Amino acid sequence: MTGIAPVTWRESLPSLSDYAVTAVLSVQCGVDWLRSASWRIRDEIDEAVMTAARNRDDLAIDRLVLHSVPVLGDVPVEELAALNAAHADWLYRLDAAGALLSRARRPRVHRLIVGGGQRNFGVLDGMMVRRRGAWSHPDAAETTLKIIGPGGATTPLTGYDLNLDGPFGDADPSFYL
Amino acid sequence: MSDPGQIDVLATMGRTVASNVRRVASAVCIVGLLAVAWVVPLSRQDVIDSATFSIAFFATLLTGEAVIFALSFAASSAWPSFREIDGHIGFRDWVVTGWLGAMLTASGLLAQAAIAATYGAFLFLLADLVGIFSFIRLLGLASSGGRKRLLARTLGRALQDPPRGARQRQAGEAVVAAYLGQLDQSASGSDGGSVQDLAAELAYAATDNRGTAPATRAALALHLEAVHRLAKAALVGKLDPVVASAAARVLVDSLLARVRVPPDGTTPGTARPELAAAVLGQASRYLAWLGSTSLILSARQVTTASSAREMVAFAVASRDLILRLADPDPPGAGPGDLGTPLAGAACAVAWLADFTDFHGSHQAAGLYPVYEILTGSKFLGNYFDGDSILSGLRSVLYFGAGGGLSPAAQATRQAFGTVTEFDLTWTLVSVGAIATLRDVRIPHPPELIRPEFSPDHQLLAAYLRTFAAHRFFSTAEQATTTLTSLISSTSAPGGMWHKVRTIASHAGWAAPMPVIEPQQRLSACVLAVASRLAPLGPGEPDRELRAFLTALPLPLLEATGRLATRVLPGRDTSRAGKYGVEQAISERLRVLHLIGASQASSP
Repeated sequence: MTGIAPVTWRESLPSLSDYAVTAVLSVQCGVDWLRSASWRIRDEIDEAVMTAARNRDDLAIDRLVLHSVPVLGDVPVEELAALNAAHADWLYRLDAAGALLSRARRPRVHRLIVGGGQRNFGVLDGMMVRRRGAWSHPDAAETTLKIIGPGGATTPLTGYDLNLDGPFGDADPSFYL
Repeated sequence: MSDPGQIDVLATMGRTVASNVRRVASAVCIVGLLAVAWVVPLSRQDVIDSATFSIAFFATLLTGEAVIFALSFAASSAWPSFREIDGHIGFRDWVVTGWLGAMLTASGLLAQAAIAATYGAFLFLLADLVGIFSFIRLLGLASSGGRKRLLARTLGRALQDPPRGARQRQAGEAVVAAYLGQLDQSASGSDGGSVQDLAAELAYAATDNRGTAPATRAALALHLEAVHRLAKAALVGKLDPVVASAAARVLVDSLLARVRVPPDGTTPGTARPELAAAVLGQASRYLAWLGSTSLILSARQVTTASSAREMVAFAVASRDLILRLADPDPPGAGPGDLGTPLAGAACAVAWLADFTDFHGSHQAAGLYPVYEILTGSKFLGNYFDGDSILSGLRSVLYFGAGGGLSPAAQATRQAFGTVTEFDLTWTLVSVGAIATLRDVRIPHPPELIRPEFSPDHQLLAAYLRTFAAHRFFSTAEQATTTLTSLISSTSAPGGMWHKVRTIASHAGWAAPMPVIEPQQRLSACVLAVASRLAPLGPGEPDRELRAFLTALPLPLLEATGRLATRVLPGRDTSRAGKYGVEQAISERLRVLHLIGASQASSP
């Protein structure tokens, strides 16, 4: 089971195409986002964010995700490995999808740096929108903005290490000999 | 008795008794002789006389065995190892029995114990009996055929799947390591005869009286590994390429025979469909890679033209055999050719995804059997004339072309899910195919030209068009949405692509080329989508294609331009900037015009 409430998220997504909304903060730091039960809602959010970023140049999108999966002592090793794999795959996809847009339109993805055994990240998952200058959840938005601000413990997903050409072995199969 | 567990236990016990029958017989003799010695002890002189003759014969046999050993087996070789030889000839049993006889005889004579001395003399006679048995078995091994039979049996035991316990697994791994070590040694020494023998031993491993061999995961993986080592030795080592390709062909034939499903489907040990799909896919992918690699190495003069030629010929011929095996009803089929090991949609798609990697020969023709497996009927068209097999498949499965769905088509539709998942899956397949097309700028030497392995632009166009004519969007906006989904969507658990990747992991053999997810080939993702917007014939507008390309950020567009320059023919231009690159890609995609009339279905 997942602690994510897909209905709440789905209700928030239409606001991405609302022209009164000029900024969006999306926080998805829960480990539940990485479980296989969450792939559908996660994809829906990613797709909605990408569509909004593609269609609107007046919308600032900031997303906060985990930099790495914390060590979960009560989770079996195999499950932890699956979570780590899902996390790496998701971050890669966020990065790669960003490469489809110009730098100005690309959603800014911030990776929250957490300690290995940390369970409380000091931020709640959710989507906050700024409509006509006012945030939908001001306290949560303020906390999030502090985290993704200059003094926060985040590092941006910049796409600088994306290999747009694909693996070298594609161009030169003899590389694998 | 009908409980399969009980039957397995009884079968295991039966095998254990059969394999130890020699030791059981020896034990019975040892106990029986003790009873005889106890009842009828011999005099001291009789014991000495008997032991004298026994020792003389013992020494004769020992000398004979030493001579055969010296002439037949190389001391440096671990294949066969002394363990296998001893297991076959019972050398240790013989020596231990003789040692026991000598000890008892000597101690009996010293201690004036008639029973012990008599028993020792009897054991010496028994040792001579075991010795002559051992000698005859060793003589059998002195011939090449005898050694082959022993080694094939040894390999067969090691490749049983799954191994029974850790000890058996370790023993099996040691045998496989010794086999591969010997293969490497023979290949590096260019010992053609030995290489051929080793290939034959693997081909015959675990073959039963009817000539069939079980398709265990370990056995199939070892076939592929041995083929790779032979090819590598021929390309960059000293192995004669003719020997390498002949031995590799023996292994490919053996591999396919193990995977083949007979029409009655009753042969025990047949590979599971997932394993068959994975192994056929890996073999297809490897052979395609081998062809492309041989071409590059030849062009760079790293390998000789003759080596590259042999490897290309071997790869093309073997892929043709795989294609025939995958086809449920291949052209000119005999009764034994009907049927396919690729049962089910996921297996067929998984195989084709691998079959179209690395610009392999006959890759477009691979869609014919896939169509037949997925729909239960043959595709009535010709891809070289512009017919789109994927569009036909899409129409049959989702838009009711040709009336009601056959049971196979219903199962396929259920396996794919929605038409969107169908379209995305095939686009993902095409990404790998497009990313690994050969570099058109590398000259293709005439000696390497083979049917379906040539620099012919029309053939390349046919391969590209098998995917490009699968049209499910028509505007730049839809293309961009598709590209975004392609890259950002998770491979859903239970979805077709997830199944395809799960099946591919069944092969049990790590090919030298890693499996690359389509999302890691961003420029190929763009080109796969762009090719589905590109005009299929002259005179068709390319407005949407250009709009799609122009909307991309410059770094990604430039990477796509580099890929198009590498894999698609066209004039080299030095036009820079977004519009220059976009125009160059559009021009190179005009290679699609070389094939037939535009017959792709409308979205």
